[in-house]
Amino acid sequence: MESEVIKKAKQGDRDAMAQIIRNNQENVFALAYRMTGSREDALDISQDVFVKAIKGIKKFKGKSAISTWLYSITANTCKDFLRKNKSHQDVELDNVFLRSQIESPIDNIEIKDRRRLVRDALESLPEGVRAAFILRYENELQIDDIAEALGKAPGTIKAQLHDAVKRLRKIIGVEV
Amino acid sequence: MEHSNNKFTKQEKELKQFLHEDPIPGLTQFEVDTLTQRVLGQIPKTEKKKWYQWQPAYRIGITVVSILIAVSFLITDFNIDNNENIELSELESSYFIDMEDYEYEEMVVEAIEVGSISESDIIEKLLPVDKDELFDLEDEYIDEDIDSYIEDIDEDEADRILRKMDELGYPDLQEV
Repeated sequence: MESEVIKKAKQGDRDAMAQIIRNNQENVFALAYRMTGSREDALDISQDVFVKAIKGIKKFKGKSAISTWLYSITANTCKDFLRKNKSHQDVELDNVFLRSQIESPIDNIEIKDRRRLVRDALESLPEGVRAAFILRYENELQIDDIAEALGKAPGTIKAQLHDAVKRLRKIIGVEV
Repeated sequence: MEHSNNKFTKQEKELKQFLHEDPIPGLTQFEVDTLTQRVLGQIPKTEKKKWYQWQPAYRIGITVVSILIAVSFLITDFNIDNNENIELSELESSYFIDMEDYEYEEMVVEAIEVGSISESDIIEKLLPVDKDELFDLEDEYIDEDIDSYIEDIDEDEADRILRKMDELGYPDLQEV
């Protein structure tokens, strides 16, 4: 079914293109949102991702699921976006920890602060590690699929996730 | 989101719960439609492929069909030319008949040639042939050149035929 839609999209069928967008929009948006922490930025990135994907659909060979291919484009598009918007990635883990300690007692953290904490914690991770973390714990991809989407060895992904979990648990251990 | 058989450790589940502190905002149908339209708006429409851009199998099929059509056309065209030549020569011979020598037989032949009366009418209605006999002889009569058959009839017979044709309402042979 999916392969038939992709085949039609490759032939220029615009209904098939629209179907690919609708079927994958949620996943692409979720990764972009987690990567940037901004709804508006995530929407803009989603649009860029699908434009790139549809224009380059003939390059998709079907060796993996199209969602994996789209995650790959999304991760790279997010990296480019974050590099151009440096302020997004200048939050260090220690700063997050200290800020949360100073601003409010643990039990009284307001919802918006808790949201801010999640975003800051994610932003504290290097981009590549952040993408792996989100794909694993938000989108629940298998390690091999994450490795394929991010163009890295499965072992590398495992190590990155291990490190990310360790670092983020410092925050969880205090705040959640 | 991806559906998988992932099993997460307690620590990982805590991290997933941590992410849920900042739930991913849903997209409205309007946003989904707008995004789809914007993406497709940036995709150039594929022009209809020329015949030479089609897949090899189609090209071969079209070529074979074209050759067959061309061959059949040439054969048909050749036959038409022959028929036209025959008809022209027959008409020429009839128009060059000296009116003074116009015999009844020739008038019958000309009536047939200019389409005032069909050969089958001559055979079926005018010639004194029994219907059952006609049925057996039909192929032979129709295949034969009616002119040669008529040439064999005498003047009285031709006169009888012409009178019969007149009774049946065929055009005045003097006007033919």
